[in-house]
Amino acid sequence: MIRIQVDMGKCQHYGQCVFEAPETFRLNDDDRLEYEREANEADREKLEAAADVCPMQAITLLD
Amino acid sequence: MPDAGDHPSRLTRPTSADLVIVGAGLGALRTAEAARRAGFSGSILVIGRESHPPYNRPPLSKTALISELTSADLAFPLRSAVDDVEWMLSTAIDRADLAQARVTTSGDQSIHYDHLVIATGRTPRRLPSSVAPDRRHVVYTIEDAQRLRRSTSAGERVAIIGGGFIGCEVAASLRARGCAVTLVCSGDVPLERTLGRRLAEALVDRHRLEGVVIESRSRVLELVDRVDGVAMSLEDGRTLVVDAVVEALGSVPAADWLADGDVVVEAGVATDPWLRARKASGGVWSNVHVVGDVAQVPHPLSDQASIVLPHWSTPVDTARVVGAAVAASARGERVSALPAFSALPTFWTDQYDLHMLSYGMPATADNHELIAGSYGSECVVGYSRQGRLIGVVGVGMRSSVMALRDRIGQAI
Ligand SMILES: Cc1cc2nc3c(=O)[nH]c(=O)nc-3n(C[C@H](O)[C@H](O)[C@H](O)COP(=O)(O)OP(=O)(O)OC[C@H]3O[C@@H](n4cnc5c(N)ncnc54)[C@H](O)[C@@H]3O)c2cc1C
Ligand code: SF4
Repeated sequence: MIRIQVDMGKCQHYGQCVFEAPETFRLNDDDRLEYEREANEADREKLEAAADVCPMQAITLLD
Repeated sequence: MPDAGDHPSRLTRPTSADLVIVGAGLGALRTAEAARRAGFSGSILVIGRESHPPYNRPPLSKTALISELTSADLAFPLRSAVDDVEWMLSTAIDRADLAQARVTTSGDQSIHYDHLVIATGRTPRRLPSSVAPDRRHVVYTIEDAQRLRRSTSAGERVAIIGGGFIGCEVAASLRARGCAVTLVCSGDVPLERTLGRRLAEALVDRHRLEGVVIESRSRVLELVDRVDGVAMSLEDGRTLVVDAVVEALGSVPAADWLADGDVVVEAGVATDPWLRARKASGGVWSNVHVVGDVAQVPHPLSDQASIVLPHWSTPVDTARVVGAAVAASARGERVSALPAFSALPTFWTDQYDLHMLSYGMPATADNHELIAGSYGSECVVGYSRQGRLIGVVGVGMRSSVMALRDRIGQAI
């Protein structure tokens, strides 16, 4: 199990993470980020890609 | 990884590595990661001039000018996949002999490689001037940002020379700190060439509203130190006196160290679609790749014209191609069988409470139109060239921008 943390003080809701891991990250109707707090190990590569492309470097993955 | 100095690998002096990456920025880090992900098992050595492991630059013209940040605050996390990468920090490469597969440090140490990745980024352009360094700034490194922040305070007069994104961001950040800011740019409106007239005007109106003085169609000829400040002589004969200047005049590729090599350096180091460095004598170096914003690469959206994309997404996207190419070529596989570079350029900027997101290549458009919202508040603008949508820019309105992103490249 991978735990996902987004620092909402940093996040600017750019949605870059959404393109990499749409199962975990989405923008809601108000264009604000919503995300799942947990994901399966099988999604690690996608989640790392999402963390990597975040311009604000707001995403942390915890094992 | 700690900073240079207390890291054990700093003490070793490698004389060779299977993959040598020059420049220790975002592009270098993502290349090392991508090579490992693609199965490259050889040794990796990253050599960089700065004393810090890779850190995030965009905050330097934004939050780092408002409150004190350190390189540790901005450091990229280092994944376990790159634990065995060796970092030679505080080390500049002075020259390269590509025919001999060798790079040489300014301390005259030669390092041999099987594969070389050029990831040295871009160097800010400067005005010729003898003005003292504490009154004359650029914003490229964390030290630059810290120095600019510490040496300016509320009420002080600061002139920003250059109306690009970094100049505009610095203007917004220094206004937030109460400095008296003048933005000097050579065009009619800052950012007009990138965003088109209407959106650029809306942005500049906002800067004026926030109290920034805009000196457009002005060129700075000379900077002179005086007792009352820095005197800037403008082309139209006027002289402006300020307490400090920030040079935000764009950048040149950090490729001096390649001067003796058989490479093509124009706006960047020219490559083929797989980011292999082109030879001036024709063909490409099969073991020399270029990543990040030092690269000048053909792209489908520019109809394969070779361009530099000085955005944060470029090191990330080019490293994906290069990491895979290095791994394939180390296995003796054909690199041209891999997907070529084609990622959609992505750019963002934050000024005041405006958050602008750009996809594609709006600067190469021959036409643009407002798609949603209105100039001056939240809006989405579409950019086209020869009837094809080639870029979308949004101020706010994130979902609408993202929805249009997939249509880039298509006829309108
Ligand atoms: C102030 C600022 C704000 C920005 N804001 C945004 C933004 O809002 N949005 C956006 O999309 N992009 C932004 N960018 C652009 C983005 O940060 C760059 O595109 C990105 O940093 C490029 O990464 P890179 O790894 O290619 O090069 P760099 O990050 O430039 O790293 C290159 C490294 O190589 C080192 N080096 C150079 N020459 C040598 C040598 N001879 N030997 C050894 N080392 C060498 C340099 O010291 C540097 O550390 C901004 C850039 C700056 C400077
Ligand atoms: S990419 Fe980063 S800043 Fe953008 S929405 Fe995702 S977490 Fe937020």
